[in-house]
Amino acid sequence: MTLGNIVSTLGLEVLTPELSVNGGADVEKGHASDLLSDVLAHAPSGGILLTIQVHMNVIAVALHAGLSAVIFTEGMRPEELVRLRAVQEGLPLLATNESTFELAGRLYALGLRGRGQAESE
Amino acid sequence: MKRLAADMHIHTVLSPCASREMEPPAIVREAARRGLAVIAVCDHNTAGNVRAVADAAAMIPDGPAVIAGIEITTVEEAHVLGWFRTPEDACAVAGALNVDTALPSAASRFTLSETVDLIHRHGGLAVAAHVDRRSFSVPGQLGFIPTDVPFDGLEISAAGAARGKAAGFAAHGIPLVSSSDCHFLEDMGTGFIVLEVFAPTFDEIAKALGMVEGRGCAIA
Repeated sequence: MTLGNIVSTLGLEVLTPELSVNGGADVEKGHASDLLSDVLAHAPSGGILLTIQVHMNVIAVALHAGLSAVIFTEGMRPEELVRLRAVQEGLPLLATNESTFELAGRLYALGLRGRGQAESE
Repeated sequence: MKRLAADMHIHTVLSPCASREMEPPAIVREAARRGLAVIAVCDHNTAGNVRAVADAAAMIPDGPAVIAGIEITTVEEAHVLGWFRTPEDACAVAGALNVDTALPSAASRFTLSETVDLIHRHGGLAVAAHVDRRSFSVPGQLGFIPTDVPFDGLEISAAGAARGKAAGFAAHGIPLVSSSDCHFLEDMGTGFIVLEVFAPTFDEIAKALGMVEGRGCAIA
């Protein structure tokens, strides 16, 4: 499913209208985490990230992990500086007032999957 | 110049996670017993016990110098230590944080940058706490240490320092310290720094962190 389809199907707010959410590869994977060290270690490349973390580091971490978009859940919104940085780097930012749990469920229903089982530590 | 052992991250009973034995008289007795010349009291989002620990230290022989501190939970849930010249400075910062006293270690509404700025505006030193740990640390919460936040120090946990983790943080070019982060008397002084200073005061410690005017600071 394309990012544009996900946006329209789930009614997500587009925080970076400067960037197109259409075109680009289909999104098949997702990750939900507010610990950016965990995102760096475990988010699947090409996937989307669901988080309530709005720090500038989200952008750098998402780019490093090769993510295709970030969705801020629970009504969280980043500062303008963070948004502008994402635009500069070509990383679409989306937002919803829904909880991470609800949104992850909806994405799963659309066919997206997580990274699979974690190895126990 | 003196060489003084300092444990700059100690909790008291005011921290909900700390043992009830962490009362001011017991803390200063234990510090004296372990040969710590300096301790910093850093409870979660409060400095309410700093004065009591300092008073207790003044009442015993060989009581440690007590530095006013606080361990702030930022909105990103990263822990940042603030060390201050006076208990009033620390209490002013705690007042500004205005964290619900029913949940003292909960996140404040201050971002990491705002937290460091708040500490600096009150003349304090801002140290990212236990950066080698995954829980409640700046790298754990934010993936890496942001280069645009002017930390005065990075704290390595006692366990991390023992395993040689400090070396991995040297490249940041920020002074490194280690402390016990003790919540129990038995853990006090498990991590500490050795200060080369003229006196166990905040201003001397600030110079030691910056390695200026002959002062120095090293992880023990």
